Order: sequence, then C-alpha cells, then structure tokens
Amino acid sequence: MEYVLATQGLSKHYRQFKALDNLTMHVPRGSIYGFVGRNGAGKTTLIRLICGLQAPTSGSYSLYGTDFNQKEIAKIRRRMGAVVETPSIYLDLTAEDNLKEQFRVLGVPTDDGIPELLKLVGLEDTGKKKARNFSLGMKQRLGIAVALAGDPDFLVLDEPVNGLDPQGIIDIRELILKLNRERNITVLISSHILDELSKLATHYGFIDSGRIVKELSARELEAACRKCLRVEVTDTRALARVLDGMGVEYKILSDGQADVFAQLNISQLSRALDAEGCELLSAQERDESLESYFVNLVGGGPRD
Amino acid sequence: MTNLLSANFLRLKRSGLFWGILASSFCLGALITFNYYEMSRQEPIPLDGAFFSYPILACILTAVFIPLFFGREYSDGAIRNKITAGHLRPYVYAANLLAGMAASVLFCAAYMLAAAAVGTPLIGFIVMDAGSAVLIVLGSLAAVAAFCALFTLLVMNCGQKSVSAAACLLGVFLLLFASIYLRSRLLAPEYLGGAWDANGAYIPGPLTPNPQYLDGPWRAVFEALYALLPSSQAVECTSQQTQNLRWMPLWSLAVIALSTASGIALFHKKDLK
Amino acid sequence: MRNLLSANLLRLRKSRLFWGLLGAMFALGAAFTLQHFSHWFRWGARFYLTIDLFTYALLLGFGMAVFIPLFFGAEYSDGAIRNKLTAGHSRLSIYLSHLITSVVVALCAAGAYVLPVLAVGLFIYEPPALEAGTLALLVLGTLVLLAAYCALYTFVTMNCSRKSTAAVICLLGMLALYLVAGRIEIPLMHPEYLNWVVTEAGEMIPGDPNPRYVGGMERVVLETLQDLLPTGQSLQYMRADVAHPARLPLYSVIDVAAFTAAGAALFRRKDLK
Repeated sequence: MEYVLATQGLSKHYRQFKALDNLTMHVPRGSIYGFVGRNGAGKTTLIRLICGLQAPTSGSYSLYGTDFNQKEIAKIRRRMGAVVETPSIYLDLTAEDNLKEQFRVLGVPTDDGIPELLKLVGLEDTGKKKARNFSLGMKQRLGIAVALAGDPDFLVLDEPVNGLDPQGIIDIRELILKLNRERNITVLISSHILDELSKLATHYGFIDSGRIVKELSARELEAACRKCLRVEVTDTRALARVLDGMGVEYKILSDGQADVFAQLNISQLSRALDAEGCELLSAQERDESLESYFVNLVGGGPRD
Repeated sequence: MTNLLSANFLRLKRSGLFWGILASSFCLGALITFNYYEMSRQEPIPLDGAFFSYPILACILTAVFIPLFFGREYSDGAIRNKITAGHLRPYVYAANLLAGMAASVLFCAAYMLAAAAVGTPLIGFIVMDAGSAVLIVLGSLAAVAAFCALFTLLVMNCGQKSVSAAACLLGVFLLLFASIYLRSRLLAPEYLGGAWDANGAYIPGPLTPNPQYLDGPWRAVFEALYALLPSSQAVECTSQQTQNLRWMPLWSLAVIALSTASGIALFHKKDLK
Repeated sequence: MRNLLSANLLRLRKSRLFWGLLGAMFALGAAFTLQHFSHWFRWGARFYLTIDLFTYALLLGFGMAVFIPLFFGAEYSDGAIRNKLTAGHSRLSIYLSHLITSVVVALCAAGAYVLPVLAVGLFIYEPPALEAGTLALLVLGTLVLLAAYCALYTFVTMNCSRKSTAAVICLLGMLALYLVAGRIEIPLMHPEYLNWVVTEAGEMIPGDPNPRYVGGMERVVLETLQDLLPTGQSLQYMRADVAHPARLPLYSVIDVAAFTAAGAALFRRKDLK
C-alpha cells in the first residue's frame, strides 16, 4: 500500500516536555484519516512537524515516500495544503486578496480559479469585506480555501469544523467527502467531534501522550466496537442483582437504563426480573460509539 | 523565490501602511523644504540642507514599516502558508528582506521627489557638485538598507509584532543618539580656552585640556564604533559630510551580510507555531 | 477598583517587561554617573548633583512609551479586558486602574535610576546650588511630569486595540514632541543682549540688543507651550534650569486631567470585540 505520510519513531521535545514520543503512523493514499486524541495529546504538534514548521527532535517522517531531510521534499510540499490550529489568513485583506496572495506564493499563473474556490467554501458574497471582520466560521472557511489554493493531493486539517454552525459542519463534511471521492485527495483531519469524524473517516489514528495508541481502518473499528443490549427497567438494582447472578458484564447508565455486553435471551431476562419485582420496559441492540471506544482505549482519567 | 517576491509586492500594493508611510515621507519632504524656504527669506540658504534631510527620517520610517508589515505574517499566521507550500526558509527570509529594502528606497525617493518639486521653484536646485550628491544618496541608501537588514533579523526571529515594533523603533532612536554622541566626542577639540570680547574678537586665554577629547585607544574604539553603526552614515549624509562616505558604505555592506547570515541561521532553527 | 489594582500589581510582579524597565533605568543611571566619575577621577572635574539627577524625566518619556502599550495592550490582544467588564467593573475604573498602575511603574523606574546616581554621586558631586525648597519642587515636578506621560500613553493604549500600533504611535509621538520641544527651545535660548559693557565706574551695563531675541507676547506663548509640553518640561528638568519651578507641576496636572478626561470619554464609547 502506498502511504502519503509515514512517520517512524517521531519525537518532539520542548525542554522537559515530550510533546511527541516515538510516534509511528501511516496515512494511506486516498484515505480520510481521522486523528483522534485528547487536548494536549500531540495532534497539533505532529501537524506542525509534517508541515515543516518545526523540526523533529528525533525520528523521521516521509511524504509520498520522500524523507523529510531530502531536498526534494520542497517540491513534494507543493502537493500539500494545511490549516494548522488557526486559519492562516491576512486579516487586513479580503477573501479574494488572500487567495491571490496564496496563488502568488504557489506560483499559480492565473487567478481564474479564485471565484470557484470561494464558491466551494461558501464565501463568494464577501466582496470587499476584510477578513478581520469575518465571523470565526468564515475565517475557518477562508483558511480551508487557502489550503486548497494549490490544488493539493494531500490536505491536512487541524480541527476544521471549529466555530462552524451545524449547516457549516455539514457543508465542510460534504466538501471533504467530495474532494476525497472526486479528486482522490487524501485528507488528514484532527478533530474532537468524534461523531462528526465517524461520518467521514476511512482510517483512524488514536493518539495519547504523544504516541499512537492504535491505528485501524473504519472497517476494523466497526468490528472492534462492541455490540451491547441497552435495556430500560423500573429498578436498576434488581437488574444488577439479576445480571450479577448470570455472570454477565454490564454498565448502569442511569436510574432505569443499562448496557449489557452479552448475548441474552430476552424472555429469560424478563422472567428473572419479574421474580425480583422489576419490569423490563425496552431492550435495544446498539453498537459501541467511537466516543466510548476512544474513552476505553485511552482511559477516561483526569486530563493533565 | 520569485513567487515569494511576487506575493510580497502584491501585498505591498494593497497595504494601507505602505501607502500611508509613502505619503508621509512625501509630505514631510514638502513641509521641511517649505520650512527651509521660509528661513531662506531672511538669509539665503541652498536647497541642499532640506534635500538631504531624509536619511535619518527614512531610518525611522523603516523602523515603523518593517515590523508592522512583516510582523503581520506571524500574528496572522500567514508565514505558515509559505513554509507548508515548500518554500525554503532562507528564501522566505530573503524575499522579506528584499521587499523591505525596496519599500525603504521608495520612502527615500518620495521624500527627494517632494523636496525637489517644492524646493526647486522656490529656492533653486541643490548647489552641491554631482559627485558629492551621488555619494550622499548612495551612502544614505546603504545606511537604510543596513537598517532594513537589522530590522528583518529582529522581526523574523521574534514572533511578537508589538515587541519587534517597539524594539526596532527604540533601537533606531538609541543608535541615532549614539552616533550623534560618538560624533560629538570625536569632533571635540583637544583644548578649551579663550573668550570673545565686546567687538566679537577672539581673545586667546589659558588653554585647558578638554575632558571630552578622545585620545589613544579610546579614540580608535570610538572611531570603529562610529563607522560600524548604520546610523552614523545617516548622520553623515544628513550633515552632507562626504569624506567618510567613500568607505562607510562598505561597513554597511558588512552589517547587511552579517545580520542577514545570522538572521537566516536563527530563523532556520526557529520553531514556528 | 481595588481589585483591579490588585490584579494589575500581581501581573506586574510577574512581568519581565517591568523588571527589564527597572533594570534598564538602573543601568542608565549607573552609566551616566560612572562617566562623570571617570572625569572627576582623571581630571578632578567638578559637577553638581543635578547634572544627572533629573535625566529620568526624559528617559522615562521614552521608557513608558514602550512599557504602557506593551503591558496594557496585552489586555486587548489576549482579550483579558473582556473578563474585567464581564465581571462588572466599569470602564472608568478599568481606565483609572491602568493609569494608576502606570504611574506606580514610572515612580519605581525613576527610583531605580536615581539609586546609583545618589549612591555614587553623593561622594563625587557638589551639592546642588539650589535652595532646599526649590529642589523639592523640582523633584515633585518631575514626578507629576511622569504622571503626565503615563496619562498620554494610557489615552493612546486604551483607545487603540492593536498593541503594536499603539506602541508605534506612543514612540513616534514621543519623538515628535521631543523635536517640537527642541525647536521651541531654540528661539528662547537667545540672550537679550549680545554683550555686556563695563563702564568706567566698573558697572556692567547691557550692550547691543540681540536681534534674535524673542520677547513680548511671542515669548509668553512659546514659554507656555514649552511648559505645557511634557517634553518641554523634560528638557528643562534635565538641565535643572527651570525658570518657573512652581508652575510646571500645575501644567502637568492640567495635562493629566486633559488626557485622562478625553481618554476615558473615548474608551467609554469604544466597541470592544
């Protein structure tokens, strides 16, 4: 398989603090790679490294098979577009002028592609308004437009839906899917909104304390996510006694609801609960969410 | 690097700051020249003094322009676009330096244009010989270019626009004051003494050593320092003193080379956010 | 407002800019004094204590032009000013707390300057040839002058949301005021008479009147302007040559009142982001 980005033992230290610690990851070509981690896990640090903004303390990475130390990496970077942490836009220029600037930086010969690009991100009506006067969402969209200016093959987006309204989130999702399916652009997205990521990503990388904890495809994740039975009862204490008696793993969610991680005979369960004076109100099969998979993977302990 | 320069010049064209400073330089040229005209009505003064007042002014305007214009790349994050697009850091640095120098030359030109346009019909053109005039113009441009290099070193390696703006302005004031002070010490006579009588005649009196006079190794130190500072060149140009201007620009070139080399070296290692 | 002052002073204690300013003023005080010490030691040159004592009146004009926009400008750039308003503090109390904190900083910085001057100077300088009352007035006058500078820079900083722009405006403004004050001083320094003649009886009588002498209403206007301008006062205090030592603090109070009233009024109307 060809990898657009491959890192090998990548580390980045800031004095005593290890932001990245021996990180190894692989972003397959044509994928939408969801980069998942807590605040401070190292997502933005990794993005800064692969964009060339900072040098690694040790380890290496390669883009399209070219090692970052090689001279040819400069040409390879032309095929990349990135939004790192906050949109990189000139606040005293209009949306159109910002794109013209980026076109110059990339050596794009004409400005013909600008109106289409602005329409793609929904900023075609901004006119002479300076970016300083944009809302947070508009700045975010312009940042994405600037990242797309060079017609990149590899797009790196650091929390792209930050500050967007629900419609904006849908629009960006559809844009990313469109770019991936129609132009075969590989996308690396870091995001906290796991639910949104689960609608997009074809591959996942879970990062914690500067290391990749797990890398897997969406298919593998689906298989790994545990199925459970969500039951609604009138007395969760009675339910707990019954399930303990059956030797089955469960989790009480609230006063009346619980997840049971086992294949159960509903009639048997109902009879057992009835004997305890408890009614079974409903039973529903569910898959484990990305959120709970992530929490179980990295632990739900207090953040640093 | 052509792409980077092209992007810089496009932004320059659209920059209110650039046009504002250019207009200020033009207006100051007109104002100072008109002031000279007013003074020349009492006793004849040539245009030269007004025409060559720009070097010190240009250094100050450059100290305002460069941190505010290029510091924006850090504050708005736009420097990331250039690096992510694959441009090498030395080229990003060099493109900013060259664009800064071009802007500063334009500030000087705007002043000279205004001085010539306003002064020539009122006072007449400069009376200095062409050779000296060319020396002064080239010397002043070398001084301004040296300041551009120093400011670029500061701005590209300091991520905070406000800090680099304050440091550049304060720095140029300090260097100018330092040059003026060094010059006054170097020009101080060896002895003091004497007085003037009621008829304006000088009466020599007992000579006493001037404590401000420099001799020995201190003189050499002061001379070296004076030569090194780009502000000294600006002071010499403004005073229309040409004897040192034959070799001073070489020092400016050395300042440009040293500050650019160290600026690029530091910028190369800088972790960008 | 006590809470606001307390918050400001806490931030001040941790501020490298504040300690840097104090260190710089101490170093400058030491440098000027050591220079005179060197002349005293080598040639037995004698100076009055006041030769360097009040130089901080000009130095801090520049120092506070850097400190105030960088320190308080951070409240805009970091958005911290919103916390104070959201917590219920009025705009006037926020404005005044910044002004008072600035004055405290200026006084500390002046103290840091004076410390080495007195420490070394008390051994080598002659006592000032001034009455105690006059000296006290001069000291008071410089301190109120520092408050005037603080009021001016607080006016700019609180009404300009961009830290870097505020820093540039304050520094350039200080330079402009310094140049204007220097310009005003020139005509005022011409003596009334070109010479003094000794008569046969041994009396000194005025000789030829100086055509460059400025008198009458023009002199009154220029002197008032010089006394009103903070930089005009700085130049007078630096020379310890103050014609009206009781008047200057009053003019400084007028400056403080005017800048504060205008600044607070504008700040009250300002749309914050």
